[in-house]
Amino acid sequence: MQEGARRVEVSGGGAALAVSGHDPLDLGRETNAEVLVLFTLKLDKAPASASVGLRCDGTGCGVRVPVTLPANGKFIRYGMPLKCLALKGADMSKVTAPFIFETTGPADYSLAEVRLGTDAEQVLPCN
Amino acid sequence: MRTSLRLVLGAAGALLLSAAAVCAPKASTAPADGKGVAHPSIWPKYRYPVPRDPAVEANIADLLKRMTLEEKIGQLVQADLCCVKPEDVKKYHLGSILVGGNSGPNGNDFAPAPDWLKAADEFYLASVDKSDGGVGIPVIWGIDAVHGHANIIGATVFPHNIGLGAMGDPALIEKIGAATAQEVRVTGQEWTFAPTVTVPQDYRWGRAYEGYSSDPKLVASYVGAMIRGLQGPPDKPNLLARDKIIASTKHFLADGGTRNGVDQGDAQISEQQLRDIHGLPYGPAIENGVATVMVSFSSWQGRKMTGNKSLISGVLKQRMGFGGFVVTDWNAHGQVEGCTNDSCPQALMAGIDMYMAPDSWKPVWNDLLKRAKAGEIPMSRIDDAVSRILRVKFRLGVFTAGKPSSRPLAGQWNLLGSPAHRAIARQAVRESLVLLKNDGVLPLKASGRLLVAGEGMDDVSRQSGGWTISWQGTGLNNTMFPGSTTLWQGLKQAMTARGGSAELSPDGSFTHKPDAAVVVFGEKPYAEFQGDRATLALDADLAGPYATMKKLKAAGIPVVAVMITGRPLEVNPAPGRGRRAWRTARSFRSATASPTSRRESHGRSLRRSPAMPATRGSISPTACRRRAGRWCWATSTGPTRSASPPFPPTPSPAGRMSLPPTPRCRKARGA
Repeated sequence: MQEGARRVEVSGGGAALAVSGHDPLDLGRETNAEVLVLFTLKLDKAPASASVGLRCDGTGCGVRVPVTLPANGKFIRYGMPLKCLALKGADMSKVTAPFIFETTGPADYSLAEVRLGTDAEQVLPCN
Repeated sequence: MRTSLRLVLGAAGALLLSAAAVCAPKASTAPADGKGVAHPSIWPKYRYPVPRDPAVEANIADLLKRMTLEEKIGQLVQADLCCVKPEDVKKYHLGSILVGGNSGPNGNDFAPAPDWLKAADEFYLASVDKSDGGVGIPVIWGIDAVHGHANIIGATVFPHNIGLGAMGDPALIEKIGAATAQEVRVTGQEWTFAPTVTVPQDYRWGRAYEGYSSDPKLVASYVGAMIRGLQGPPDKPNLLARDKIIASTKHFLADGGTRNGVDQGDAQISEQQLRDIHGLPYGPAIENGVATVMVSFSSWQGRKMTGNKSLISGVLKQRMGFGGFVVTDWNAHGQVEGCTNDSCPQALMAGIDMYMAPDSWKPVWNDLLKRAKAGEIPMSRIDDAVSRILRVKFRLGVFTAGKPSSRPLAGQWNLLGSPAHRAIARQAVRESLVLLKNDGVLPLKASGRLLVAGEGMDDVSRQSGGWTISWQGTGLNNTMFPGSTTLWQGLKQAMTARGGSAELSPDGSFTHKPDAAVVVFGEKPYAEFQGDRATLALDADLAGPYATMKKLKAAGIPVVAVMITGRPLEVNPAPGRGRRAWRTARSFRSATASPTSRRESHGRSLRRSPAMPATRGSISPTACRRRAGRWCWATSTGPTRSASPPFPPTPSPAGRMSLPPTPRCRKARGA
């Protein structure tokens, strides 16, 4: 897993990593079925703040959910319920970026995988 | 999602990229006139054999007079355990509760069996509590006991339907139904959402393994047996006084006929195909008195089934004479044209009698009540739906059965996974094994030295697939399958019992050269759209054992390849074309195993099941030709399903940062 991961070092300020595409995805079916956005992340230096978000097609269409992740140097498969993102107001029928990881301040992390699924090691709360 | 997305890194402000793609919006309106409207007169008529008891009819009429509108609406609504408490059932008079694949008592999907019975009592007692002056109609609890009572840890897990289809043994099907009903009764539920009577026409569909066969005649030959096993004979009321439960045939209609095998997609087929392929199994279902029918998420000719009055009311109820009640799938009403999860009177008007509204039950209840009071929904439709539900409840015997823990079989924990039921499961596993080719290595010499390699050979969840303990069948380990036998354990037992030996070596390495090797490979568990695939090939990350086979073959070791999968997949990349045993189902708790003796390797198990695809393309029903007498399958040759698949290769390995561009506006598939 480490071999396939990508490490990101942020020297400071606001930064974000996104999985995005051109064609809006309809994730309505997945949202109804309690599916999660899974991302496997290792945090070596925790940022001042972090959020997991999503962008959808349309002006201002998008949400972010604040998350608190420990810097423990281990890969953990976190899960953000799609239903949480829908509750925050995202239009799940036209998702253009299903995963956006935003940080502020210096940070050092590695991301190994982003996918939809149900097998999270740790489900993140809908803050 | 992996095939059409890329990773972008940037300063926070730069991420609000404008979405450049302009795709046709998903149709949310009904199709043009005539499309998706059935003609009941061209469909067959059947006789629903459940007798109408005048005393019961008088009871129903009396209840209808005494029930408030709130009580009637409550009967039409089913809530999931995730989102409902016993006091809600009392307050809203809910007709039913369910547990979805990921739900369980007290928020615990892995709850031990006694917790399920305790919860059943709590909900029942709340439903019959008349302290608020109501009539107290007993609630019924539905569960996905689709291959045994497999939501429950310790229950017998039977092969999934594709494996049962490969047996060609309707008599055993009835025994499986009876054993499943008994185990459900142990934990206090009354209703299973089974059997699935889908006739899958494209095995890229993630639910294809839930179908017995792509041949409607074979599916139809099984349906009656399974319903009799679960419910007993149609003219014998009071199921709860015996060891029976009510069944549900699903998903009405053409869930397995969607274009490109997309789950919850659109069946773009003629009414004749709809009737002759997908409709056929509903004949024996109705003639054996199935108590409920679940309507499909999917569409026919662009119109969502859950809102299709011509098929639900016109064909199923009026023409085919179905006398039970009709339930929706999980929030499927929210997909009907003009509906949301919170509001869909269209479904009731189309002929739905009960809304499966797992987390949306309260808004659905409020919306129906408001519309009924406003006269937007005729009372005649509400009374008809309530009557159908009450009629099934009287047939079940739930008015007189007492609380779930007081009923026959309740709490007899030794029935869960009992030796007798496991014996039936083992027989089903043996009969469902499909031998593709044997050039002399089988049966194995049990006195020899066997190497067992590959992956998933010591993992019950890999053998069991989706709808096992959890919805996706993932997140499990062998300790959650007490009393089960993995493929490795079965092989080891069989070898050592006859004086031989077995060694487990996932990568195929060895110190002493074995006499033969068994290499196990196949799919990981999945359910519903999570199992949709673009091609009929193993995911790239699962093809590792091919190299192991190659290595062993090069060392001069005879190789038996065992593929555990939920569907037929291309096996041509597998080197060592010698022998390839292929197991159609992934179910096999106590599946011991592969043919180590001549007795097990012969007989039914030698019969060939659905044809293996020669390419990764789909199976075209129109290009179908008979193979091996029984299963109608062929690889297709159409332009969109050529030998060179029109899809990008399987998703990239984890962590890949950029993906090749994909055609714009291609239909996104499940992850």
